Amino acid sequence: MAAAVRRFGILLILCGGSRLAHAQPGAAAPGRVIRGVVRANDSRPVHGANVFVIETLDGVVTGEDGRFAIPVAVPGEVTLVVRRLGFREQRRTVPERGASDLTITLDASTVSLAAVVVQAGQYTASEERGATLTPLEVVTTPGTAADVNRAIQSLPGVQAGDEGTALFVRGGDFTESRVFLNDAGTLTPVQLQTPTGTFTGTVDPFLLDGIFFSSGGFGARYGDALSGIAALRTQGRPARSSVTASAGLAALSGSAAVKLSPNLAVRAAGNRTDLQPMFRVNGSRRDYDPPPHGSDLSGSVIYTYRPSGEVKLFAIRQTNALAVGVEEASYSGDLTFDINGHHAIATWRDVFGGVTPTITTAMSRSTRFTDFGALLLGTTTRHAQSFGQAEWRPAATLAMRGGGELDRVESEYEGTIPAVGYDVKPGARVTILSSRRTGDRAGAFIEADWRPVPRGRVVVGVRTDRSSLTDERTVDPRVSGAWVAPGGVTLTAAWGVYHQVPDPLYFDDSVTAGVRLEPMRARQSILGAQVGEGDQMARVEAYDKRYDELAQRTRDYDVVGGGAGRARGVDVFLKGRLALGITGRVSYSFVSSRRTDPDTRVVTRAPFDVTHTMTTVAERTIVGGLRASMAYRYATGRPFTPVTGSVYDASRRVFVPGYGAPMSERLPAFRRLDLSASYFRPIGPTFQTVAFVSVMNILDRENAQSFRYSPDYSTRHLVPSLFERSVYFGGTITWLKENR
Amino acid sequence: MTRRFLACAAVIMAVAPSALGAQVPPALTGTAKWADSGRREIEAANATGDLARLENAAALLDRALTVTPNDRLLLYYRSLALYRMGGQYMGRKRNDDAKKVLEEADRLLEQIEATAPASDALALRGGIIGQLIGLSGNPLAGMTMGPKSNGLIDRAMELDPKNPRVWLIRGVSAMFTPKMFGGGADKAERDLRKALELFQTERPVPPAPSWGHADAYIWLGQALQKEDRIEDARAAYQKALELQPQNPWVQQTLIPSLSKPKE
Repeated sequence: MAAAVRRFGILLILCGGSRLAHAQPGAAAPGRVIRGVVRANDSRPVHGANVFVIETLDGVVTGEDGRFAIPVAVPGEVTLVVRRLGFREQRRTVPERGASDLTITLDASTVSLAAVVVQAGQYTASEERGATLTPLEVVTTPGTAADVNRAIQSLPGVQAGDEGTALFVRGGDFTESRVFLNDAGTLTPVQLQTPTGTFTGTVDPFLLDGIFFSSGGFGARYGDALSGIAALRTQGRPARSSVTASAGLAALSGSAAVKLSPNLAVRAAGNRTDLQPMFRVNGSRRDYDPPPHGSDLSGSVIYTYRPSGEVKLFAIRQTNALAVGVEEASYSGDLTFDINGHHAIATWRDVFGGVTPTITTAMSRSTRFTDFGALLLGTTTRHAQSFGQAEWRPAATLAMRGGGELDRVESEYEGTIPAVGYDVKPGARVTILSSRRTGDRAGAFIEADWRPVPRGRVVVGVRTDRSSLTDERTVDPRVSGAWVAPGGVTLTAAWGVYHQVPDPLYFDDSVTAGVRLEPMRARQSILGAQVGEGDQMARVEAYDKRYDELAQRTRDYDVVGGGAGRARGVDVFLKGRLALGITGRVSYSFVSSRRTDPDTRVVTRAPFDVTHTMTTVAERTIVGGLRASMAYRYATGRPFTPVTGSVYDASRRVFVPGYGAPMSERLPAFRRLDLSASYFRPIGPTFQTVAFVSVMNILDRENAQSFRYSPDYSTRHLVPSLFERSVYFGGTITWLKENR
Repeated sequence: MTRRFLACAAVIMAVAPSALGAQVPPALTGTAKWADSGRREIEAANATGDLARLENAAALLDRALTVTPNDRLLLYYRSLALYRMGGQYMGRKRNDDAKKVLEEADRLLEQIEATAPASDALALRGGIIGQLIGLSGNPLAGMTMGPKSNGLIDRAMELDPKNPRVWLIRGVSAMFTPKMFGGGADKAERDLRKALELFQTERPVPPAPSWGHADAYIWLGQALQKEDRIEDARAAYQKALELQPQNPWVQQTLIPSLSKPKE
């Protein structure tokens, strides 16, 4: 009540403006005077501090000596507010008597108090405030080949035990993380999935203007994901029309952005990749015929029908193919992939007073053909989804968000998969698949984003989903909070329940053998602390994630449900300026991930239990537009189940492996050092050029992708990872239309 | 009491313009009055190069924002005060202070942009980001922040091509943009002359933004000086002094610099 009266009084002051004169020093009616001095915590006087009485808004700015004197014309106790950029705000209640010489001590603050942007588990790459990485840092991180997923892998919480681009987040499988493009979930978060991992991310980073990544603790808006979220936002209207052409050792690309009118713009981009020239120059430890190649074509139309209203259409078509020599104990031959995908997204957003609605509709189709011995499988997946959200700000400190999504996935499977995993040769016994599965999911959420105090933020939400595949409704409460503690440390915490529907293929009777699959569930708890933001920051987070009802595939391609697990760990992220003009960042993750082994039903190390992962990136501008950077990656070897013996099965004419304790051995540790340099040079007012060169795996370390076995399993050999020491170079030229 | 509260809130809602530059009743009340008071203080402080007065104006607006933290005019004028302070700090080689206030101004203007963009706020933010590029110390900052700055100014131009302050900021931006990146004194001159033409006819109603007329002459003078058109530059500075007779920058720095041999 007292607070309401106080606020009412302040509103009256603003309404009438009658006390405006009192805001100037010395203009108040005679009465008592509050005097004092403002000091920093090292006792030095603070100059330029804004000291005022909140009930009247009378105040002064301190001089060189930090002193202030404020005449107060109202009776009773008042609240003195002291503010200065670079320091945390101080408030002090001053009684009617006995406040003649106050000393106010301000603590230095390295974070913005007005908006707590830090949240547990969240990282952003954009030009916006609070972003962890800038887009330039994404595309120039050595060894990432300007790939979005590889750049995300340089953030803490992502385990990358090989050279693939999949996002294994905080001890979870990569299928537990979802990638969103303009609010629409993508079917193919990674392309060119090889037996040794995935090769490239979905979207060219040059098409994007913002990347949001959450390694856990994300809000109720995101459903159907157990571990992580990567939300990508395509570029908006260009500031100027431009045309860009790029050529590299393995890719040719071009793009154009045309401003047709002040309100309408179009973008188009094409990209053709082929790793053959790169392998010719550098060699390859693996046999590819043909090497990975693909293309993508994308376009977008952005229409701004009023300053706050925008409609964006984005479409992309992608094709990828490769054949790689694979040696298995029972068969050696080419594993062939051929993947095609289309994705179209329409997004509308506007602002009506305090309400910001967003609607997204997306359609996508993906076909995939896999051929390796007895494995001959064609998959077609169609995905239609609609997402709507409205944000309402009833008060300056409160935002309410609510919305929902409808999601339909149709999957068709045609082909054969080996009946047992150890016999994949052509002619082996197979399971014939010919089915069509449709899964509908409807979800809704509501979320309150509240800043109850200037230094605090709480996000509370709940979502509910129902899938026709599991025929079960799930309810996921989620909460996260951040508080800027004295000393400038932002403390964060998050807790939530997360559900995900298993892959539609898992519901096929031929692989589930009548097993009923429940929605998979994870419960996440996170505690963290961060100092600083932007260029200088340090963040530590500890987490605990418990899994239930996991659906898993055995090595014989059967599906089992009811798996459980737990992942615990600590992530550390440091970013800052070092000596000699070098800027750098270090990501370190420790994880202990255990889950049910689908073959033995024993709870043991998860296949992605990569205990230590570290990425160090250092960058320096040498001179002018010449910039050099270095990245070093280390990861503990991934666990695997060793083969300890075999018996010959005469009927199948194949050795049947005998396995040791599940996940009892590890691959050798992964280490890689990459260097890169880029040179930016404008040519006249309308052309910009960038030349770049990078040397990947400069120490030429032979990292392990996996082990392969001899036909009788008596000996095993290391399967090397993709890149030996490799040089990659190229250049980009951009034409920009003159602005005037 | 509730009725009075609601009535008061209604007054606040009524006087808070829906967009920067909107017409408001001549008799200002509420936040509009605070905003106008801030506006006048900023203009007076700027005309005399009085940093302390500018800091006081920024503090005054900060106090009002304590009560109505989302008021667009208050946010704009506090940003303008900080922008002016940033300029003065840079002139005094206090670059760290300049960066701090400009970043704060950028944050406040972003807050305006998040609700509904306005040409004055967009252009000012574009100009501030341009200054932050110069203060970043990273030669490549222009690669990423430059397009953002230009984009904001372009959007401001699309929203209100007759706003003289948008042309002014675009002209100033061109002054600091190397020719090879599309800037240069000739382009600055063109934009600044357009700004001056628009200032002749602009009749803003308080508390809408009205600053910049003298600035346009000051920057035009510098653009002309850069092109070795000394007498034209002198005339521009004299025009600025007609509007701000006590401007110390023009009196003590810019006009004397015309007599010095070019470095």
